[in-house]
Amino acid sequence: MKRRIEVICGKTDAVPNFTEISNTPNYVFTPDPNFDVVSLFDRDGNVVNLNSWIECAYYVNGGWTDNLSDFVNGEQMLFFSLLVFSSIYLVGKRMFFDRMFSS
Amino acid sequence: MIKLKTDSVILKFFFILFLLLLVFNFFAVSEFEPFDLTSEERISWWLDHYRELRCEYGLSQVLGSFNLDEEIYIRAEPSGNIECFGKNFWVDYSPEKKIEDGWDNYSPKKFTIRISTNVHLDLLLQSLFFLTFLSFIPKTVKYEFKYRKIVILLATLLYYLHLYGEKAYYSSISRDFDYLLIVRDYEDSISFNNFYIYSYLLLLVIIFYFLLNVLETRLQNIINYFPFIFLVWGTYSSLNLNFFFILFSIIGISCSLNKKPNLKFLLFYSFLSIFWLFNSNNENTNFDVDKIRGFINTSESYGSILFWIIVFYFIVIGFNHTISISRNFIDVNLISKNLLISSSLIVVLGLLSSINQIVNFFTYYFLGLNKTGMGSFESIAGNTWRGLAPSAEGVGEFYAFVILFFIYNFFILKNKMNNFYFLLLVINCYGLYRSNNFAALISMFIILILFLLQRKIANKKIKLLIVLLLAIVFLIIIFVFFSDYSFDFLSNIMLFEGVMASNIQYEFELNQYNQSAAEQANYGLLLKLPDRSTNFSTSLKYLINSYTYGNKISNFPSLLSVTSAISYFINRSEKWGIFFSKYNPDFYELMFGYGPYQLSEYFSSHENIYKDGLILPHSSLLSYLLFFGLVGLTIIFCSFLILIYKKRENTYILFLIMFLSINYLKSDSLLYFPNFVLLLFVLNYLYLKKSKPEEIVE
Repeated sequence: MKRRIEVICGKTDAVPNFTEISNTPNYVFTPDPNFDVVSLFDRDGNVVNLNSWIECAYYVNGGWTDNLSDFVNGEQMLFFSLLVFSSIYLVGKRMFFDRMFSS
Repeated sequence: MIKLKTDSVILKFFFILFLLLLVFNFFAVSEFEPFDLTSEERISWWLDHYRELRCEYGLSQVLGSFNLDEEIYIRAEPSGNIECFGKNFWVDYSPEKKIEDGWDNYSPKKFTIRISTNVHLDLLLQSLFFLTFLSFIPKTVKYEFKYRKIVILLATLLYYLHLYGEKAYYSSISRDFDYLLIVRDYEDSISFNNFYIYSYLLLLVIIFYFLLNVLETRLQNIINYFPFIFLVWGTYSSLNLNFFFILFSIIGISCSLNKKPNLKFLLFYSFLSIFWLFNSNNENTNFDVDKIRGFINTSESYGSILFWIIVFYFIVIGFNHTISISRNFIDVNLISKNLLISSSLIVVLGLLSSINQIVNFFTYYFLGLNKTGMGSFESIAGNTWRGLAPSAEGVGEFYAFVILFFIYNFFILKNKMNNFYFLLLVINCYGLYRSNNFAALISMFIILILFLLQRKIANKKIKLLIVLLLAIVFLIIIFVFFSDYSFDFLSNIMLFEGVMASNIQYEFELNQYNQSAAEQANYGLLLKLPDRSTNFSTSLKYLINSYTYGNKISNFPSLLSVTSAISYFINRSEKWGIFFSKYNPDFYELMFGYGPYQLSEYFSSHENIYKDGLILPHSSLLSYLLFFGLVGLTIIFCSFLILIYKKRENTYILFLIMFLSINYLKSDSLLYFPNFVLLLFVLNYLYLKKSKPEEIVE
């Protein structure tokens, strides 16, 4: 998530404490005049404009994004698909093909 | 028992091709009627639709949605996501433009459809396709890869180093790029969710596993089929990697684990490596490698330099090992036939891809081309037609080499060939004609004359006399043709081009013809100006100084003047001038170079007026000077001479090496992996040849 925050909100030396923000019901984000406003959306299509780095980071950490494809983790799907197919191949090869061709 | 697998390679090929086309949504049908793009308003509507609904339509759906009479180009966009693979990324439109100097001629409307590709899926799908190609090679004796698991592990680590070293390149094409295996978040929590790197590494392991499986029964036959790498280039669409380079590096790793290395060479190479690493700026640059992608470093980081040092060593070791274990399986006749088939297919597919843009895109993707094939049947500037190849020069050399090798095989070795191969030879000659590589053509004829002399005349003195006579005739022709040019002009044209390409900041007083001291080639004055005003590179300054004050022998041209005059006649004075205006080494860099396939530092270390685009040195000798420096070049050159001396009786192979060497002086061919493999093949073939004459003189 750190990488995505850096991509969307930019890099900073500040260390955000997301737990503290979540646990404070009336937490108010202070707008940063030096921060370029970032627009994010969620899965339902809600849009939010964010005025500070910490606010942006908090929303990205909460699953909001500026890129539609972030809702799908293609690499994760590919990784597990490959893992499953490789396992099936290796098990199948050992139990089925090797035995069949050796006989 | 039911037969579970097929032996038909054609069936396998079409099955894989069908699967891959399916991945590209190629059989999807457009939901719209073909849209008539008659007015700018309608075009604008169409563009907006496909730009806004990115990642929604397959290639055939976009193509089917409008009138195909328009000029279209299809290009791969490597920054796509996995779920968008093979779908529309962007559509560019260039309206009609008035052609310069034309009265009422307009260039046609042009659409460029960008189709999403992705690092991981390219690695998977293209490897699958290349492995299928590799499986076409007939099986021979099984070669046992020892320490297979260690080889896979080491190769995976090596290619992880590649991703780490060239992070600037990969992060530029993927926002999810991250090379860390364990990610530490802000709250110091550790997470294992970097699936970008996990799937990359898993893919590598799977590819290496199947590659070793396919290779173990084909390794000793692979050299006979090497000509096909000029057709199937094996460069991944979005990675800076080449499949065949991976192949030879894996063989190199395997060989290094089994065989004792050449300690002297290894020690010297390690010494150079330490210098290259210490000399590096260690900057994560992203050098635009354009058409030489797949066989060049994009970065100046330690990681990337280390990767290219290691991988270059393994490729050379791997190729040498392959050819040494294939010694008994090398079939010159088969290689000659494969050269003819490969070169003819390059011509035919090049023609098809210039006629049809869909073929153009798929040949680019499935054959792993460095650059999309020519989009037009017509030649471009310089009257060259490169077809599928990224360089007309490189492919022209290949066509000429195919002809020479055919003559060597058919007339010298007397191997039989049927009429079909003569037809292929005609197609190959057509390719050579279209590539318009004049140097390859001339050098081919010179080698043919040498072949003829060697074949027909036994007396060495008569042979030498004829060669001298021909050389004199050649020089007279050159003199007659080019006597219009003054020696002064020819001897400094290369330096003049270098000065013109330099970023000179000095405010010159102009003469009555509005010419500055630079335009008048007043080198004496230019040398007196402060360095910050002239911005000359160290190499150019040295050459100008040497030209102005160096030559002390009167009435005898210096080496620099001769080089400059030659460069003019072979159309290289501008390119080599630009090279010297850019090449800015210190003493150690001049001696030892920047490292194997490291062009980035050369491009970034000194600015000239050419700030954008990839301007190559246009000489493999100069490229290797950049990589290995004077010391490296001297050693390579001496090794060449020793090899040639030891194998001097294999005259015809030496002629082939001579042909390649002449061409490498004026072309960048060695920056392309297939051409590099061709050189390795010829050298290794010569090395393996027993020292006895190849023929009985009639």
